[in-house]
Amino acid sequence: MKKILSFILGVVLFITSVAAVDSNINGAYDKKLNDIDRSWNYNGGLDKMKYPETIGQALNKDTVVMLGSSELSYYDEKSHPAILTDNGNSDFNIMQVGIGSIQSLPHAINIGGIEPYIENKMVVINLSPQWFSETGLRNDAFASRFSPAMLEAFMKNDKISMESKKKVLNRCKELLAGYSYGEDLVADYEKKVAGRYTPVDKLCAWIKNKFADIKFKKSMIDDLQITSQGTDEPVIFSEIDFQRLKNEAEEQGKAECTNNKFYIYDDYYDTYLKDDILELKNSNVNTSYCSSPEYDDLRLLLKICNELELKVLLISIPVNGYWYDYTGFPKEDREKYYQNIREIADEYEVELLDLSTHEYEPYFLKDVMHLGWKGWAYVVEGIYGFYKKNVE
Amino acid sequence: MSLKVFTDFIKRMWNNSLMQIIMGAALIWAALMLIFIVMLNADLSAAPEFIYNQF
Repeated sequence: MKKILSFILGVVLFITSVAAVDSNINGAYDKKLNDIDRSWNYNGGLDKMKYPETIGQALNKDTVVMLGSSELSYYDEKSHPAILTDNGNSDFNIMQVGIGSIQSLPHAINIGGIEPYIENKMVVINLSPQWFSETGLRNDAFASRFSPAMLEAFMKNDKISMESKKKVLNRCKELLAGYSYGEDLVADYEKKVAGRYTPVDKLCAWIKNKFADIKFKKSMIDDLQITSQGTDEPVIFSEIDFQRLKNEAEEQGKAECTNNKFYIYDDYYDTYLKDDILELKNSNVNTSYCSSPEYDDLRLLLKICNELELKVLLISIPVNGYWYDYTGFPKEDREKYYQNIREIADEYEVELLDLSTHEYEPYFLKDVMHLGWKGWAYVVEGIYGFYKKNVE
Repeated sequence: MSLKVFTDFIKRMWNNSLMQIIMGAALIWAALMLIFIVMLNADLSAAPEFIYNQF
C-alpha cells in the first residue's frame, strides 16, 4: 500500500513538474517567435520547414511564398531578393522556402502546412530541370530533410482532400523505407486515415505528441538563428528599374566569370569542373529529363495547390545551354522537358513564367544549374508582376 | 551525545510511514525527471545526413 501511494504521489509530482517546464518553455518560445521579422523571408537552411510557425510570423499580405531548392541560397547577386529588399526592409518581399534537394513532394507537404498563413493566397513554384532525373527525388535526400512538424501541419489542413493526403503518405512511406526517422510517424497517420486508431493509440499519441511539442519548442529556442532586416530607408519595390538591374547584373556576371567559356563563376569552375573537364565532355549523352517520378509529384503538388485555392505561378528555369551542349545532354530532350512543363501548367490551369528560352543567355545562370545575376532579375520581375496582377 | 540524538531521529523518521511514502515519491519523481531531462536534451533524431552536391 505504501509503495502504491509513493508511486502515485511520485507520478503526480512528475506531471506537475513537466507542466511547469512546459509553461516556462511556451513563454520563451512565444518571445522567440516575436523576435522574427521580415528578414526571416530570406533565411536559408531547414529551420523554416522544421518550425512552420516561424513562416506565419514573417508572412504578410505583401509577401509572396516562393518554393524552390538550392537556387534560393545566394552568392552575392545584387538581383537576389535578399539583397534587393535589404534583407526584408521592403514594401514587398518573397518568402523563400526550400534548400538543395527539396523538390515537389516535400513542397506539397510544405504548402499544405503553411497555407493557413498565406493571406494573399499566392504561391510561386520555381522548377529546376535537375529535379526531373530518371530516379526523381532521392530517398536519402527526402529523409534528411523530412519535417515531422510540417507533416503534422499538412495533415491538419482540412482543405486538402483525403485522397491527396493518402497519396502524400504513400510517397512518404516509399521514400522513408529503411529510415526509422519518420517511418513511425507516417505509419501512425496511415492508421488514423484508415480509421484504425484505437483509444489506446490516441492516448499513446497524445503523450508522444506532448513530449515532442516540448522538445520541438526547446530546440527552436536553443537553435534558431535570427538575423535582422536592414535599417536604411525601406525599398519601394515599384521604383525598381528591372532593365537597369539586368544591365548591372550583366556587368556583375562578367566580372565573376573570367576563366571558362561556359559563363560559370570562377570559383565554381575551379572547384567542380576544371580538373575533370576532359572527362566531362559528352558525359551526359544518355541522360534525360523526360521520364521521371518527379512529374507525378509535381502533379500532386499542383492538385494540392488547387484544393487550397491558391493562385500559382510556375517558373520554368533553363539549363546552362553551353555546359549541357558540352556534356552532350540531348537538346531535343531538353526541349521536350520544357514542353512537358508547359503542358502540365495548362493541365492544372496555372500561370507559367517560361524562361526556357534563356539557355544561352550569359549570366542568366551562375553555374551549370543555379540562377545567377540576370536570372534573378527576370525571376523577381516575374514574381512582382504576378503579385501586382493578383493582389486585392 | 548529540550524534546519538541525531541518529535516533533519523531512525524514527525512517520507520515513520509518512516519511517512507514521501521518500519513495521523491525517488520516483527524481528518476522520472532525470529520464525526462535527458530525453529533452538528447538528439533523438535519426535523420540521415545528406550532403548536397552543388554539381
